[in-house]
Amino acid sequence: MNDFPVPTSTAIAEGAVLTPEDWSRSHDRMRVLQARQTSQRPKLLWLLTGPGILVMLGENDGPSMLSYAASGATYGIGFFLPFIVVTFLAAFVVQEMSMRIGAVTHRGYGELIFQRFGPFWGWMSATDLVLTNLITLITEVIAVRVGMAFFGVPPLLAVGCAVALVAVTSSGARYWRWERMAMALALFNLLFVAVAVLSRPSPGQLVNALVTWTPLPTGSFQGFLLILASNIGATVTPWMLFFQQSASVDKGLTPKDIPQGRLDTAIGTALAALAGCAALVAASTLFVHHVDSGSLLGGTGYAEALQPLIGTFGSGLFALGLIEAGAVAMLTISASTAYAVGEVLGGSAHSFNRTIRQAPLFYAANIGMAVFAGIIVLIPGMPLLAITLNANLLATILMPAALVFLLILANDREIMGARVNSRLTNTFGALIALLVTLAGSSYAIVAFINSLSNKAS
Amino acid sequence: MQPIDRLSHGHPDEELIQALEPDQLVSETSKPLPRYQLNQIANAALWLLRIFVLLMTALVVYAFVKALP
Repeated sequence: MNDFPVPTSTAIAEGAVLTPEDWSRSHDRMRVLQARQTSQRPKLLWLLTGPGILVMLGENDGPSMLSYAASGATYGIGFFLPFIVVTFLAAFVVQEMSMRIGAVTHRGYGELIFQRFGPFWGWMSATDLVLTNLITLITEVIAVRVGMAFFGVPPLLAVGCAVALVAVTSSGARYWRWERMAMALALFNLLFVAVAVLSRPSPGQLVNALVTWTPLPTGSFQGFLLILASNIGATVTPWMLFFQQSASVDKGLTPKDIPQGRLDTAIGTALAALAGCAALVAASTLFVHHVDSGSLLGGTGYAEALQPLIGTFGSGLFALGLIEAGAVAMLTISASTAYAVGEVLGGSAHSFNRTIRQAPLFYAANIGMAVFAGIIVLIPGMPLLAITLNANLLATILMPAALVFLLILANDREIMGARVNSRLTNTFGALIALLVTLAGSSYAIVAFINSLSNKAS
Repeated sequence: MQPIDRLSHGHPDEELIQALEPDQLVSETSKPLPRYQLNQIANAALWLLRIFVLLMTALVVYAFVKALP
């Protein structure tokens, strides 16, 4: 018998205080209850999917897709193809915990750290998040700008469109509407699959790489560590924890919805892994044709470099995919910042089920971050390439701290009851934390030593 | 928080609001949870991890700045 049973659902008592957020959420929950009562499984899944697909496809963002492309262009489809699949499996383990904690506690990640571990750790986590989100958001605007430059769109218009997208999608005062708009846009992440098909990879080589992890990478050790840490940062990052947990709460997931939440996360994982591997496979054409990939991250690099190899249509799709990757990530990363800001500033409304007037701070953080990132990108002389290269690394380095808190929360019987982590989940969680820590710190130390030796020479 | 309503028996939307679980209401989730009792070893481990993360961040920022043209 469990010492900490999860409370069973009871009716809402007469006299209960109701807010506009409750009313909005109750409409969504009513549809879920009706689908469950009438055993309409496909409809139930449709109603409960969202946070998992969004978080995974949102993480296939500008720097992530460039990171996968850089892996393929530098090392071909050897070691990194199965490695990307493994990092997505790790992302599934971590994100399933986030979803479960949100569904059981009805509180966001930032909120729980603040309340359970006190303001110091709460503020630390929120500061880490805001810092990495700001840098990542800059790279998302860069991705949109670079993608649109391929089609001749001027930078100011491209950045304006990216920021306007965040503002427009946030204006409905309904979580459901925001989520469906973001999901519709996120599906265009699969454009990278079309690009990969156009690059005509050898099925035999793909299977061989997935099974044998060969050929192994050769060349500079620092270069290998950079790509390795970037790929980890491309799939497991702090904003994902904040986002999925808070979005699950905003959507109104309950413990009964955990199986569907798990399936939502699994579908998102599969789609994102497919698109990520596709970006690697598409860019591996450059490796096969011995194209120097060192200078391709800047400007419209990859799309233009692929043009003579896969045609104008294929390279155009790559550029479109990059625009989509940046745009969707702008929505999800801005949202994760807004949730975190609202959660750590206790009492402040933080939900897409509120109007701008009801939750001014939430919307100010959501749209303000996007505007700020847009302004930075338009400043002449900003080291945009260097920022893009280092965004994922920063996420990898800050991730261990976030993971440790997630593991503590997922094992906290006082709030999770019987839905704490299994021993197997804890083992995988600890392994993931160790892998992320080793990858991030190895790169940091090697890069630091190399920068010292460059200085000395 | 901006309460606009209190649930009363016979409220026209009583069935709708009952679609939520009681602990899902904003009025309930706004109540803070009790603090987690971290023992000294766990607290020290969290501090060590924080210092480690800051140190690694400093190394990456240094390498980033040095690599700028």
